[in-house]
Amino acid sequence: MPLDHKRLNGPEESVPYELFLRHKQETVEIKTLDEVTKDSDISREHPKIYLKTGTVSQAKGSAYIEIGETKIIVTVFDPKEIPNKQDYSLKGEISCEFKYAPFSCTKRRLHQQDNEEKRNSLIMKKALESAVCLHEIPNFQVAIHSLVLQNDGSALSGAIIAAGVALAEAGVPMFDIITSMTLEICRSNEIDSLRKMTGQIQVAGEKSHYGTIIISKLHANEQICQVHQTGFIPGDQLKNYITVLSKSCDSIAAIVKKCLLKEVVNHIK
Amino acid sequence: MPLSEAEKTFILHGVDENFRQDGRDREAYRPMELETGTVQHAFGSAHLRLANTDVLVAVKLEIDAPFPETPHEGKLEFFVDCSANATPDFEGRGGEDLAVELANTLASAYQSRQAFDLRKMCILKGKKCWKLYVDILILECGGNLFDATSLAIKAALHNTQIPKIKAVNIDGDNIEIEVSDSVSDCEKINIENAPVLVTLCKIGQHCIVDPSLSEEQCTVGSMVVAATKNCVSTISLLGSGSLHQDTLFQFLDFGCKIANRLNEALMETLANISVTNENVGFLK
Amino acid sequence: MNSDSDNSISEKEVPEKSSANLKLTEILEKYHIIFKKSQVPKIKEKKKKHTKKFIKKYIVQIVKNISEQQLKRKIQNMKTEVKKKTDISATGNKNIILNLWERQLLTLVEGKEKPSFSKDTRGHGTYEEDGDLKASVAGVKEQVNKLISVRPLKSRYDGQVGEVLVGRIMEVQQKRWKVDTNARLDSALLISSVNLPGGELRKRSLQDQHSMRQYLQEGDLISAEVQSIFVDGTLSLHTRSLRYGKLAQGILVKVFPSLIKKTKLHYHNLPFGVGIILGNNGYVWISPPVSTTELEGNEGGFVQNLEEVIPRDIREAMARVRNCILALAQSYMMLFNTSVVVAYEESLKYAVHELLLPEVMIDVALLTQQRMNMMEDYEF
Repeated sequence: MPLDHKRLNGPEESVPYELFLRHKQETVEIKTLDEVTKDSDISREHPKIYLKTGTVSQAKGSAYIEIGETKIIVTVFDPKEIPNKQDYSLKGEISCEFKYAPFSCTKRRLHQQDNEEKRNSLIMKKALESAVCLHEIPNFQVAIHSLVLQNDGSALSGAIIAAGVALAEAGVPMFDIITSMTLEICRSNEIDSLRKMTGQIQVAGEKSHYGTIIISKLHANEQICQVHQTGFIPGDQLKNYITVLSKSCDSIAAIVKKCLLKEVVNHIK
Repeated sequence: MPLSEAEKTFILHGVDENFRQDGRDREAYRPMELETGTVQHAFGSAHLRLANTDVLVAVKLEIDAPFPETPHEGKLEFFVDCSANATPDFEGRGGEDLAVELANTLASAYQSRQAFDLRKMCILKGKKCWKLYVDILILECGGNLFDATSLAIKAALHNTQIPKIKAVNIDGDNIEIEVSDSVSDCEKINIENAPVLVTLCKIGQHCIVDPSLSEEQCTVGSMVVAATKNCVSTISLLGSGSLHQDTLFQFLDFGCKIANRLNEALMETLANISVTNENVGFLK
Repeated sequence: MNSDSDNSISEKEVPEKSSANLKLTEILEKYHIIFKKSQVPKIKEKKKKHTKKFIKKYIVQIVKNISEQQLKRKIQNMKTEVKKKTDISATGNKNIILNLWERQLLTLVEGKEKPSFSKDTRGHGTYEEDGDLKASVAGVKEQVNKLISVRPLKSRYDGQVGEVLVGRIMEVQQKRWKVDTNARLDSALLISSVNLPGGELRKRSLQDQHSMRQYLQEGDLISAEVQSIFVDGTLSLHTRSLRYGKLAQGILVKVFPSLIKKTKLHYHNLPFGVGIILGNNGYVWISPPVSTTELEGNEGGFVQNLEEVIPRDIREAMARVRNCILALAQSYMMLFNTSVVVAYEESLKYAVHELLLPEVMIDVALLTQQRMNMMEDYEF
């Protein structure tokens, strides 16, 4: 990572203090996949979601989302002409930026985007591209910026949900409501409570199988517009996990609809 | 490269009938040629040619300190360079997006311990470890970069020779490492479980592997699956299409099947390559 | 004077003759206008005067009588002798050693000792340096009478008026389409050079300009003929015949333009159910067979049938033809309808997808070449 010479950086060789902590053996139990699927009300499994639109008055559209302790702001700006583009194109473009605030994670982040953030930006862009009607905005570019204020897991899926809401509030033509969910497969039933979870749903897997899956789904058309998985999961197990995820995405869609409805009603009043 | 509507229709009907533009069926790969040990200065290297796609991979080793969070693991980094040789589009920073995507997918594919065991790269816990730099150079782009790159990386890693460490002297903060003198006294990396990336494209109602450039223009949605031995280590959707859940599952099965086949063919070829490094051709 | 001069390469001449010739040439230097072939009346008069003077001097120096005709013949003979000696095709690379008088005569006739060619006989791909003609590209030498040119193996397409080619629309501009034809510059297809639906003689209105995109879009393939060449080398195309126009379903194969043989007909219906257009610019279009009766029903070639599904056997034939063409192109063989047909027949022993292997491609090319050689022998 190139050093940012315009800002004051911390000392080069500094290490987070948590490495030197003695671990307390508090464990939190995690359900296995079967238990999760039997549970018909999956919405109990994932942390509470709070969604509000119109937080940033300067932007065309904006949204603020809280998933558990994770807090994210997303803003959408007006479609404007694509710079440096000469040839005619029938479709518009989306430019997406995903950023962790330097104080948001346990380990301090840099001001510039590092590889993980760039990767997350790309994932977000792909997910949103299928939701926005690009052919209605030929030669234009919609800019979406998301900032994670506090990262307590599933920041990317939170950003995607909020971006969908912000785009709707901005009036950008869209095909469908977009929702997103993260599933984390942990190695065993019990996990250290201090360890930060990265997923909204945690499931216990077999010993050698673990990973993280992020899914974005277009609600009404039942199309999965984005899948990203890391880790090591056998193929058939993967299918089960994805089924669980898409069901829970559906439950989130209700929350998104409610929020948008409230905003429209407020506007009319 | 834009295509006319009629050409796209032709390709679409062809895929439906399981007979593509050049006579292949949906699951067939174009002929590939693999050569290892081409780069003298690298610890391991491989050169793969898949019809019009040409990829050169070289592996270099350095000794580094491990991350503080993972004191007994080594490091593995991927760098992708799309040279302007491949297409004039790649001139300057044109190829950067593609390079970043490719590097990210590879990094997440090799992230898991089962795929590639970084613990074997550790020399001294918390202090010294091997760092592998995998440099990928794309010489020619004829479609289907992910597959070609992943096969070439696997071959290059197979070809990599890590020098054996004879002794480690710890003197306070000074650490001296003694490497064995003879050049041939090396360890090989176990790459049995290294994943193979398979690009699947959906054209019409069916999905194909190994798309050519014109077929890539007709896809509705495409997916990259990194699989090894029926376990998936990474999936990600490419491009801007969306898929239905059932299609997704279909792709997964298909992808795992093809990845297994590719893996077998690759391991067979690698076993056949003798020390003199002759040029070997194999067909999928 | 001995006028027999068969063994002109030999240097041994009768010393009398050579000294006499030397004297002649010395005199000739003054009156070199005799050599001019111009018909301008002034120069003709001068020539006459000079010839008379020359004859007088000749009689004085070499004590012999000579008439005008004899003089002319003599000079002619000397010229032929010298030219024979300096003929490159006869002497090849051997050093040419000339006598003094021969050398002098050569300079008078404006020839050069090391024969090279003057500027008007230099063609494409060559340049002149120090009086030598050198090639500037690597390729095959072509000579037509005195014109020498070198044709490179891999080059961009150089258009000639009247050639048929296949191109792809790159841009839609004000009153024309920009077409990519593998040439140095994008070719232009003017709106006045296409057949609009609804009759030919309609004047192009403003509405036509707006609806250009409905006729031909970016990415469409057309077959067209070169109408003319602009000053900067851009080709101007036209599709004003029913044979040309937008191309429907099929496969496009790109090869080097120099591999396409220039023939009269470029549209061929091959005997195994495949139609092929060998564009001179290296783009080859393979399609299901085009029946001639269909063309009349077409509205100038702009309407396409996209729902038609091409049957499996024709599809196989098309794929096989595509692989054969690529195999021939890789071995740098000329492409014309006979060579494609022969290659197809030779490739029948392999499955279509096997033709993608490099060894098979070389095999097919070799067999084709052998059969073509045999066929040529039979023709004679």
